[in-house]
Amino acid sequence: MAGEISFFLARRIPWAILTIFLASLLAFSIIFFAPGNPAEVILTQIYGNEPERDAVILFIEQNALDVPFIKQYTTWTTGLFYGSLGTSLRTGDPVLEEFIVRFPATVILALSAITFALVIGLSIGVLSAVRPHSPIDAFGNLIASLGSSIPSFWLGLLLILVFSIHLNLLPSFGYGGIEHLILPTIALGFLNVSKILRITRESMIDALSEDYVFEAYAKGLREKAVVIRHAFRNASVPIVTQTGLELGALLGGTVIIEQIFGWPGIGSFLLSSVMSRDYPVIAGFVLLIALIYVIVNILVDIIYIYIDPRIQPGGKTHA
Amino acid sequence: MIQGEVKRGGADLLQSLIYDNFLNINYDGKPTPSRLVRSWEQSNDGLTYTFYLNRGVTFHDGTEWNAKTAEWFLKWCSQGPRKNTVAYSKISEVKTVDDYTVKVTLKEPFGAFIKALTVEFNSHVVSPTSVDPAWSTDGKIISFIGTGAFKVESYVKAQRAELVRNDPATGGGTLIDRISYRIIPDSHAGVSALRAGTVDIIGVSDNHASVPYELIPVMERDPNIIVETISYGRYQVVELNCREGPFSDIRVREAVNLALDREKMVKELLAGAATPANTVVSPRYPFASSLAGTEYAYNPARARELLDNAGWKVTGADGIRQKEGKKLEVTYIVPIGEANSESIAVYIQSEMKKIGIDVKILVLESGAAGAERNKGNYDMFLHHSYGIPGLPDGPLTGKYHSSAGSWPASYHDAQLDQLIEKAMATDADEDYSAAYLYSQEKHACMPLYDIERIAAYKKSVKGFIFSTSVYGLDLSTVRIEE
Repeated sequence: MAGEISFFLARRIPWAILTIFLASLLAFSIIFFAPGNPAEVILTQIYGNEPERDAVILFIEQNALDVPFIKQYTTWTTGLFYGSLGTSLRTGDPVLEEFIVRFPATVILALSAITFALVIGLSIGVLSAVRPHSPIDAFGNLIASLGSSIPSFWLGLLLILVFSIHLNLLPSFGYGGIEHLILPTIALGFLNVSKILRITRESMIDALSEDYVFEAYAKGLREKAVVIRHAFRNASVPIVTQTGLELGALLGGTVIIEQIFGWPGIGSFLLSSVMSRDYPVIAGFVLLIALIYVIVNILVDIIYIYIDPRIQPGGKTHA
Repeated sequence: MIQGEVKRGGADLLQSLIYDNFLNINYDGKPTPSRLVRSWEQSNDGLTYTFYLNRGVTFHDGTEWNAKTAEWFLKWCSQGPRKNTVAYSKISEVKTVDDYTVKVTLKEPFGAFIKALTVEFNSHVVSPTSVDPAWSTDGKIISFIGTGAFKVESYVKAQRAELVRNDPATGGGTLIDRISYRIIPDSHAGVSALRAGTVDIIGVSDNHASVPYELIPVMERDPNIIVETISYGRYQVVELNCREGPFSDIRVREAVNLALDREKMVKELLAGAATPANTVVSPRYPFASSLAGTEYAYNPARARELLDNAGWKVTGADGIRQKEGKKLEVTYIVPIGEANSESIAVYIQSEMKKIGIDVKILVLESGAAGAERNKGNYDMFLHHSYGIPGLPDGPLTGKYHSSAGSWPASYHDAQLDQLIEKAMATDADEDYSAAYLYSQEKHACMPLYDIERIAAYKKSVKGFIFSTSVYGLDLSTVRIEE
């Protein structure tokens, strides 16, 4: 198995590097050629009104914004080889530093939300599949429908209204202790509960109708053992896929929830950088987010091998 | 605990707690002495300014405020990160006269020089020990060290700032001695945090209206919350393309101004929380007193008459006017992020349709909107204009002088340029007033409403007063009474 993984990694990593570079090139060029001048936008933010023409010219000169696209992108990519992602035009600080100070908050919220979604989604999903058309299945359906139809910003504000304003149990915003994590986790994780619940239920129903499940029951195994050891293991491949995709997306930052709960993650900063045409931040953050996506995808592929040895890493299945 | 955003080097209001201005400003936009400068003199030729400094002021790290630090500060302004400010680019020499007197010589007379020393992002006085290298006249700020009422105890980037009172003795035991500064980017969530009691005060951290007007009645119903508003003369206006298109005709510009029922707009869309704006800037200021009596009054009949006179006639069944086979269609660019912009845009559209103008609303991300504005590719463009301290000069030099690079299609002519240049040279109220009257007579823009700043705080917060500048924040008089 170790050999398979090594071979798989050797095949995947060059493609991963290419993907990451293309993502950053795309981000850099889209923003570069989008209308709007970073000097003017950033100085307007600082001064509160449109800056004087001389100030704009000086900002452009100081930040070498008047050189051609190819040269700017080449300078930026050259910096990568020296471990530099450039400097933010807005804050004047290194892009890597801007990412590092915000990324832990993003990771904590992403892991918390995905754990919440897995615990609720898997439990109700499995029970719904084992007892189809029962009250628990109806409840699962309700949760799944609500999760996919309630916007997270609305749920966030509702949670604040109930738990912070009326019941005064939890803080309405902020970053720090576990109490700050509860409401954003629910607001962010609820949609994923719905997705994981649905996919768990469908996969488990399929798995429970397989011949080997009947055989396991016939051998006299208890229901718990059949469901967990036999059916769930086989049903878990699509669940892992879905979880990997959702985790990758969450690690890319969650703008609305960050804004509502004052959560200092990468999403809000990236959005405001896009608005400011802060090319180095956009390209750097996209590169790092693409890197995270790729790593999560590779990990998901490796997990497949452990769950189901019939699967070859990279998508093929043993005959 | 207050809500806001922490930035370094910008016009962030948190910095008003840490730094003092070189000079202050009053509610009418007039420069006044500050904690750092007790008076100043200007030479007759307008080239030399002498500043007399206050004694006994120290920076948070113990560095003394005196002629040596003042000389460094003014040189740093003209050679360091602030050198792109026009006022500082005029400085030719800074000299120490005695321990508490400095003299500044300009390359050429610049009437707005003193005014520039009152504007927060230009005039916050930083310590020479807070730049790298220390005392360098082009050093970059690396820490927050000022002379303000509060000093930074801890600062975690992107998360929080903890400030403590610089001199607890002056607090007298009742004034606040600690501020926890947090960031809540979403304004609705900010209101929720106040209602939940998690923060003490909101809305003071932005120079725009960061508390949505529609939430004012909700907060006012809460017996534990006090809501206050203040005007800094910052008007939300629609700038008109006076260079080409329908608004190049003065009659069409006047017509749209008369066709807008501002009273109704403010009452129905802004919960009555804003004041209608009927002149190019507020006539309550001495520098715009000439505008009294020129206010637009809602008169759609006169608006229709003006459009008829301009050759735009209603001919078709759709009610949209035409001239020489061309329909009276205008593009209204609304940059994303302008407060209350969507509902106001739809209201303007409906009001203009009543007099036969078809307004096409184009909502653009602010950078893209700015690019169109720079090229003059609009008929109408939503803009938050200038407030104190950006008044009185801001709208004139920033928008209506022909050299205003960001607004090539605003109203410009040689006579207005002359009036503006005279006002800038003399800095006299009557000269500003003359320039504004001329702009109003040319119907240079379509003023909408006064963007009032809103602060909301718990009843236990006592002694809050708005700062005299839209960019300022003063909590030195605030106390908490549980």
